[in-house]
Amino acid sequence: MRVVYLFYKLEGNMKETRLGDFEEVILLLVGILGEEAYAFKMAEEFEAQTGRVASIGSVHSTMDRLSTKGFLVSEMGQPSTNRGGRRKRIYTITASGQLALKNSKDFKMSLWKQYPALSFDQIIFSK
Amino acid sequence: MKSVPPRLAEWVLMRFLREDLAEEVLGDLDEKFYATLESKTLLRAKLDYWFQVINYLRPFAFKNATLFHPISKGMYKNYLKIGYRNLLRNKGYSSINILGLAVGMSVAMLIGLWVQDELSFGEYHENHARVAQVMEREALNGNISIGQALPIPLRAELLSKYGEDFESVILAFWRQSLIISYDDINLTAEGNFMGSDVIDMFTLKMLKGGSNALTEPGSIIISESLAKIIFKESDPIGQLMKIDNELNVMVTGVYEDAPKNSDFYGLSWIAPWKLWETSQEWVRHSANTHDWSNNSFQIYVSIAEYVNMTAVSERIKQAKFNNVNERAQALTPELFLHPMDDWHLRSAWENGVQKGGLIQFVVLFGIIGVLVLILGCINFMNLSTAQSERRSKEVGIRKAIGAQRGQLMSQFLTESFLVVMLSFVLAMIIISLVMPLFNGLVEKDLFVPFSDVYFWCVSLGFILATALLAGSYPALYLSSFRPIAVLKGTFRAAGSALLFRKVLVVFQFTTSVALVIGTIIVQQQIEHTKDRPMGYEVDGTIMTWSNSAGFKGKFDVLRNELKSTGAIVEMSESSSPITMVFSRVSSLSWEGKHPDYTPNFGRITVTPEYGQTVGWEITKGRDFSRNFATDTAALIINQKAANEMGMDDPIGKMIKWGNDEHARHFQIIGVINNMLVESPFDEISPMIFAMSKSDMNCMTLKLHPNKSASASLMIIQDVFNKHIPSVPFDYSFTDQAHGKKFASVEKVGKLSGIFAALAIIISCLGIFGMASFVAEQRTKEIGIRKVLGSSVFDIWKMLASGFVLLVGVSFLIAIPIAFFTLSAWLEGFDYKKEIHWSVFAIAGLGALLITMMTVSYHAIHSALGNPLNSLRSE
Repeated sequence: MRVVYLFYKLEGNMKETRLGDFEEVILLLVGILGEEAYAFKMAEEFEAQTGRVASIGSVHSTMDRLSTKGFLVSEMGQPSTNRGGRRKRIYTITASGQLALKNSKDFKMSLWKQYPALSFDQIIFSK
Repeated sequence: MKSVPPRLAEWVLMRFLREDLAEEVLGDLDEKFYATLESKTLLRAKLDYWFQVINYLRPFAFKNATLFHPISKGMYKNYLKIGYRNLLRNKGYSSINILGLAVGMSVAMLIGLWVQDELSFGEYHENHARVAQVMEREALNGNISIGQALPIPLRAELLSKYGEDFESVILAFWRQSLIISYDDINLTAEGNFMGSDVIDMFTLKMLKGGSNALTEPGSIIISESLAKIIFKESDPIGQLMKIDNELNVMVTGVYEDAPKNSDFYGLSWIAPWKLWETSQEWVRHSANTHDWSNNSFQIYVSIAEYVNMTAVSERIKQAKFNNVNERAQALTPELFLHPMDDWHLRSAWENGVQKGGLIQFVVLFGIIGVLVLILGCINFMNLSTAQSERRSKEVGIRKAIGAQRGQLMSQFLTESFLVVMLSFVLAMIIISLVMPLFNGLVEKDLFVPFSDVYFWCVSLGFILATALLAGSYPALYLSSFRPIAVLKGTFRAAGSALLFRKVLVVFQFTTSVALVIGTIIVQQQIEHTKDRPMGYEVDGTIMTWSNSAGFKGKFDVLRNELKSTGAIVEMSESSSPITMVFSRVSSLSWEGKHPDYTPNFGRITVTPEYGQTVGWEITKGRDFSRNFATDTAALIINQKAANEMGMDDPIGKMIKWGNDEHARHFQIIGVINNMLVESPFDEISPMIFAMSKSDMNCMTLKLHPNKSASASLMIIQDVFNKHIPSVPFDYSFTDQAHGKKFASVEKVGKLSGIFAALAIIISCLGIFGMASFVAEQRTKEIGIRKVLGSSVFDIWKMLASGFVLLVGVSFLIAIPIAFFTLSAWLEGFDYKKEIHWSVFAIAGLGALLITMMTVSYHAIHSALGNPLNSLRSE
């Protein structure tokens, strides 16, 4: 456990700015959901958009990590009854988060631009 | 039922979840729960809740993360420095710690290397997992015996009826030492005649020649070492050699020598099976007539790639039974495959069932290695908890200025890591020093694979594991002190800690005493068996092989000339040496034999002088004699055979040997006492001796007792070389051949002796440290007692009695453990010494004595001290 934690801290300190695939989706979802961007809704939305199941814990931990990287900020929202009167933590994307998203998109676009135009003889029909 | 989230899951969640996350997480999970409830059943919703809780088991969500607060480099430097200073301050304890651990580690490592070597046996051959030997089970007088000698036509049968199961099936004879000659070089080398597929089957690494090198009957492949000896630097390929001065062969390949942990170790040449079959009349006859009754050959198979070994083994079960005649069917021969991976480690059979073998020793010594390592760790745990009071102030202050428990734990683990590292370095030095000795003892070429990455990974894991094992208790215990109690001075070591220390000491001594008892019993068994009456004179006889063609008809010449030189008293020729039985017969019958009884008698054919040469003792009747022409149809039997045949007075009785029209009739002329011919640990088997001129394999010579053996041997060598120049004279002493039968048991005895000694040393180091600690702690008390008039003896008694009690308890625990383990071990021997109570008494008294001596040093030292000094200190 100690090793995991040290590694995690190390990662936090290194100011890693590249985005993982899952992280990128989470960041985008935070933008899409706006005021509703808290862990439970995020997990629901993730499932709705991708068709894959993600546990609340996994989404939460990713958002926590993105906050450490400075891509997200959060504050407590309003309590509601179906939460047993508990408040929720609403996440918002920061400027550096926006930048990271843009960089990621630009990078992919540049790759797509270099990619030859699709033609039949370039598609490999795999089994 | 109310639809609320599962309370237990919530409770579990709150056990580990960071407090500041509680509100949002619980809220999210509630929302999720009610959302799920809308579309799914309550059970599903609850299960989902559990799923979500488990998914919060992530590092970021854990509370008490401060327990694992990352410690800066500076802190570690401090820990190392404090640890180092502590080691220096308590030089005595530190050296006991480090030495004990180092010895434990060296033992564990040496055993680890040995175990690894044993387990890797046969891996030199790439296809080892697919190779097997065909073996058979046969029922004989209610016992199931295991054999590997099979008839020639079985190979063809396996290939034709079960062909798709096998990649190849080869016939082989037995490993034998034959004379290999080239030019004027004659030397004896061990080899075998095997089917040509042997190269592929055992993936022999061919340095010269290909995998088809054995297809021609007149070919031979030789090992690299043999090639070096015979051909030096020149190219062996295409050279003509002679096997046994008879068979002309051409060298068609050279293979790399197999390593010691291979069944091919020491096999210097392989000639084609076809050559053996065509050159030996009896083999040729057996092959040409498809004789299923001559079981004299070995069959090796490699199974096809995607078949299962056990399944094939099951399928070929009846392959022999279906082809043999009724008499052989009565024995219900059942074939099975003995996989190559089991040859070395699992080849002991009991009544037809696999009963382990060497693997038992591998497991046993593996356990002992771990135990000895644990003993070393226990010293470390004991001494550090014993010292805890000294360090309790340090712990208190560290805690008072804000050290977390986790940090203190890392501190003590760092210290234990430091000690373990030092021990590891010391262990490496010890290992490199004793490796040659150890190798000599276990007859292996083990070495520490310093250049192997895997080795370092294992070592690192080993260090970490030992550091954790040895350091865990001190780390948990020392870090649990309450700072206020410690600093106020009201702290005393808890009773539980004392009890724990006592349990550890008991464990140490139980292990040591059990090992000592084991060693004594193994030694007794060896001594007892060595004292077993032999029934013949072992000393002063030598044996030399005479199965080469050059010996034919030379016996009388040799005997006459050697006797006239006076170098020998008598000599004889026989089918097998006096220490072995090559052949057994079952086709014997006599008057009054029970129809269901199948004899299984050992047979040795001899020349008439045999009895005088080996000095057997005739109890009834007479010895063979050249003066009676009828003695060619005479038998001498041993007492055991007479008993088995149920004859009170066997002299003059007739015995029919053989079942068919070639059967011969023999008359018993003498009975000898039971000679110990085979394994000294087994029961003596019934034996018959007959006179014969054929099938002679060796000569036994009785040296003149009043002449120097070396001078006699020189004369004998000259005479042999004169008459049989083609065969190099090679001999062995009978007593040495007999002694070799004890080799494996003696190895076990020696190893367990060494481990027992080490275990005792480590345990004594431990209580030595403990005794000094106790004596030091009670300095003031002892001073006061002396002032008030205690005698030295009283004080000694007070200090020593605690330890003596612990050793006593260990002794009581060790007795049943040792007794049952060793009784099981002794079960494997027919001839054994029963365990006597005195063994336990000796071991117990010994342990007690050693404990007293160890403890007394400090007890007497402090008892003799001037009370003034102890009371004035501070």
